[in-house]
Amino acid sequence: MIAHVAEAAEARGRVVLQLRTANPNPVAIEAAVRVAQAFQSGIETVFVEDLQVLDLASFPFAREVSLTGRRSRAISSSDIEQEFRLAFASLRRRIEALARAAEVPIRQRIVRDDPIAALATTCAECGPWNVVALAEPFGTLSSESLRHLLEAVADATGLVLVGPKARRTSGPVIAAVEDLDRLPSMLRAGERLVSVTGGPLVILLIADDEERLHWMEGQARLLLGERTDTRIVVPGSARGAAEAVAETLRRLEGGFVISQYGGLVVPANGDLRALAAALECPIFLVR
Amino acid sequence: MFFKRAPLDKSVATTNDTVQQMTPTAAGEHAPLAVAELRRCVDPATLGFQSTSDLEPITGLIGQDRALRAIQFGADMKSHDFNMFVLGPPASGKSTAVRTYLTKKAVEAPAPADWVYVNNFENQNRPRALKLPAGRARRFAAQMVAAIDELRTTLPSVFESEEYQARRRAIEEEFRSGQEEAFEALNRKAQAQNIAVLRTPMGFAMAPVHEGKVVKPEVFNALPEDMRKNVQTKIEALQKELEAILERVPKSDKQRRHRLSELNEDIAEGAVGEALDDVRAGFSDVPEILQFLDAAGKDLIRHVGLFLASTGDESEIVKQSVDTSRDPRFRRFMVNLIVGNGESSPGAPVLEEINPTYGNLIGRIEHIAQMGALVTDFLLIKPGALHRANGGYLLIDARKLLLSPYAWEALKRTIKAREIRIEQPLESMGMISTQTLDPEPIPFDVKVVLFGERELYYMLAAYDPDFRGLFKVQADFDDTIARSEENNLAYARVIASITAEHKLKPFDASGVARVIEEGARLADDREKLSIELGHISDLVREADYWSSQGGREVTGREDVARAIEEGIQRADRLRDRAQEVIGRDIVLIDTSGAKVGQINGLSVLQVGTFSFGRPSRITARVRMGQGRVVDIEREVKLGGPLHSKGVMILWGYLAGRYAEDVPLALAATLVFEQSYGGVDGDSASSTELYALLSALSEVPVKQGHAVTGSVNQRGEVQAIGGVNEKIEGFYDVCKARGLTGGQGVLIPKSNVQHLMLREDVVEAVREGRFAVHAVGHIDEGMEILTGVKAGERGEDRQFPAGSINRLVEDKLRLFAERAKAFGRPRIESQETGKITS
Repeated sequence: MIAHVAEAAEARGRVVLQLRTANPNPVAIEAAVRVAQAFQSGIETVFVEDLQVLDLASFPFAREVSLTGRRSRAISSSDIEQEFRLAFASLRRRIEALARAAEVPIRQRIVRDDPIAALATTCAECGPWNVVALAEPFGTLSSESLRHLLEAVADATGLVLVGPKARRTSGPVIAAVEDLDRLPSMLRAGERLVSVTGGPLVILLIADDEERLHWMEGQARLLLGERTDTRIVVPGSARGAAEAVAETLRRLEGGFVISQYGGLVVPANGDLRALAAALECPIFLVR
Repeated sequence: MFFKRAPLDKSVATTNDTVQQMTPTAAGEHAPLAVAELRRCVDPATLGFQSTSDLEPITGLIGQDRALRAIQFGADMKSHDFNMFVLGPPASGKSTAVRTYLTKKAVEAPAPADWVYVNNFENQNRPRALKLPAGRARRFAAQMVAAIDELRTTLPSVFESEEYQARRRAIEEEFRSGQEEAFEALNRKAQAQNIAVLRTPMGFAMAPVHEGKVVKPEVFNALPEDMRKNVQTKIEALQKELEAILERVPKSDKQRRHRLSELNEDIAEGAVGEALDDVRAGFSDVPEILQFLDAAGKDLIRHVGLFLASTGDESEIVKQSVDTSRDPRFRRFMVNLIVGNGESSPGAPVLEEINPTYGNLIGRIEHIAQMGALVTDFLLIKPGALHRANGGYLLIDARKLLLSPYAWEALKRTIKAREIRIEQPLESMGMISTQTLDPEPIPFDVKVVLFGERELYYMLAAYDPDFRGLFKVQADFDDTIARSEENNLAYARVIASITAEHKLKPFDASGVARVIEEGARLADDREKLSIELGHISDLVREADYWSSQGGREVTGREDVARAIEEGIQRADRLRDRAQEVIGRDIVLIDTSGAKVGQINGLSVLQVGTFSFGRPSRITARVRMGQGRVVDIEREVKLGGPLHSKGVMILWGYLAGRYAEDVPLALAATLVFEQSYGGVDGDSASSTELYALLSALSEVPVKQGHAVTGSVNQRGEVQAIGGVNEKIEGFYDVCKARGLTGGQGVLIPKSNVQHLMLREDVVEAVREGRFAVHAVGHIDEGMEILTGVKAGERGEDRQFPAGSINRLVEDKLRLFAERAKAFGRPRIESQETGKITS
């Protein structure tokens, strides 16, 4: 993770923000900036001109349906290229302004490639310790797609995502802990994020049986010791089910959620609909 | 010239030749005024008390029965147009007296209604004015704040409740899942047909795919035409479906919002109703309030989002609650208290507006700058004096009112319309272009009392046609009251009230007596007392100061005298200067000897509140002429009309008395020597006549005398103003040069009653070093000034030989004869071409 890099004074990784359309989610961009700010890193924006979209535009029958569905027009490759250019120019200014306000260094690049390949290439160029941030919400994204992304982008240690209901990045930082071995690193990441979100750090313990949950709570309290700036939350009923976990996260009204990939919060199999419907803040997904 | 000109001009002769041929006046024939006539003193023993602490203070009016009756009448008259104008000199205590009277009356009257402005939820530019029973407006405003406060707590918790969240999520889920399912179904359908739906930068597009990748165009073009057409047809059909799905999104979103809005209203209704019920219960007897609460309730439900959104001012890190009454989100539900009566004092209000500007009278609509623009709302309506005095009395200084732009017209408009309508004058003139309001007018029921000087009243009555119709009651305050034992005692009680009000030491009888004497001096009349209470109050307080300086427990005569003296000293720099230039012979004034055609006149100069007398040399020169007295002051436009009138009267006197049967062949010039400013008034007309008679008779005038008084065509000397200052002015000049006993002042007899001379002048007269003569006719004055008999016409219609009048008449006849001779027809000599007479 970036946090590790910063502490070890190794070559610093970056937050690689992927942008693909003219209407990215603003909370996703803000989340990327906050993470970079928290880890004293920089942002590498990657505007991806999707090759498939460019190929599509070469068909003589290619048409573009507007987001409202009220307009449909024939498109050519040059139309799409211009759309990409204009969209990225506008986004570039917005992101630069945000980064400047947060005093985060920024580099921007335009890549004509497959979106995941573009991320993999960029991360490889930036060094081994990167966090990938996706500017599009993950509404219909499946766990498989996430796994594919994490596998393809080897030089990323984490992924910042937002759901379609994302609306804030301020508030408590919730570390959703399912594996106690990860607690210390999650605590460090949480402490970093707390410094920019302004909320307290909350440890949400998640397990699929009550006995384990009690054990985890005891261990976590031992680990935290006398710390008063961190609260431990143990969910009550319906623990374990994806909907119940998502609802618990919603009620905590977090500004950031830190979670591991392949657990109860973000399962390695199945979809992320429950999480997308409940989550109002970004999620920082670690491998 | 064919005739020898007679040596007529001897106006500056100083010899006594002529006098020796005259008939002198008998010794003691014109005795000066007795000491008792120069100043009317008060014997402290006659006052009947030791000090003012023995007296009951008086706070009302003294000697103002006429004005008091007018005020009573004006206050009792209920009609809106019977407003009052209180006339009188400044600092006469008018406003204190009127306010005291009206306050007593107002206490017994019921407290008028309260007024508030509230938001008009249907038309925000026209705030509503609500009337409440007296003393309840402030509670109404506080209860509205409390209700909104309560809603700030209850509404968020109601909207955070699980019940609400569950119902909300159910609605959102219903719409969201419908859209997503439709979209996913389309995606699945497309995938089944090897078509992909891709996001472009601005929308969606479809393309054929093979093994998850968009088919390259060259590969696609290599396909058989049937296959290509088939793909194209599929894509077109799918695109139509996509368009239909996307088009449904806004409609669905609208329905979702509507459902959520219904849910919000349903949830909010209970909380709002409960919060407003408390207010309703407190004002169930005021239908207008209940109406307002109904409207506010509906608006609260409609705008429930205001209670759920955070204020822009809140810090992200430390959220501080903003006071409800200051929170911009809730301004629309607040109450603007315009008038709250019956809280501090019972009864109807009696208000004095000391700065009657338009805004201070009518009220104003203030603005605040917001994002570079000036905006306003009903809470920025500020009441004016007319609002605060509504149902009672409003006291205004008329001069200040007239000097304030638009204020007078606005006041008249309000009285006429009987409603207070807040308008911005500059906006109506198009000078300010910004958002403004048109608040509902408030009924107006105020008795307006204007205070001003008489000139102002008469001017308004003459030039403002509305004035007499709206201010029908004039309360005319006298400047003075008659000096009597009863009024002396009243004066003492006024002093007692001043000492009580200002927490001063008491005055003993001698101090009161000295104040009364000063009151007579201020009145310029020893038979009157000034009731300019402002001056009296100043004197009493200054005397108290000097008493304290002297370490006395009681203020006495010497303290009052010191206060007067110090007051004069503070203001008499110009008098000293005037005396100095005379003393150094820069301004030429003779105070001894005798001169023909030269006399000392007296004038009064007013500098601020201080006035003093100063002698001026007046000279006259005569010669034969066509019957014209030249007033040099008038010729050079330094003489005012009254002065010119006085000079013309001289002419009438001369012609009527000395030239009944001969033409007045006189040319005379009259001038105030070393006068460089304007001269007006006729108080020097007798003096000018004396100078003229001296010049004509060639009898010198004693320069130890100064003269004041106007004269009529019959030679009667008439009263003038400032007699005390004039006498004292000449006395000071003489004293500076040394009093000889032969010096004095001639005043009109009718001015004797006004004499309240300084004590040092009286003392000089007592010791025979100075004299004041009262004269009724010019003849008396001439005899005193020249020591020569004036003379009366005998049976032969002739003045006695050697009398002044005879000499004057003879001179005038001589002029007439010479003029006659000079005016014979002229014959031109044919031989010499010279003109002969």
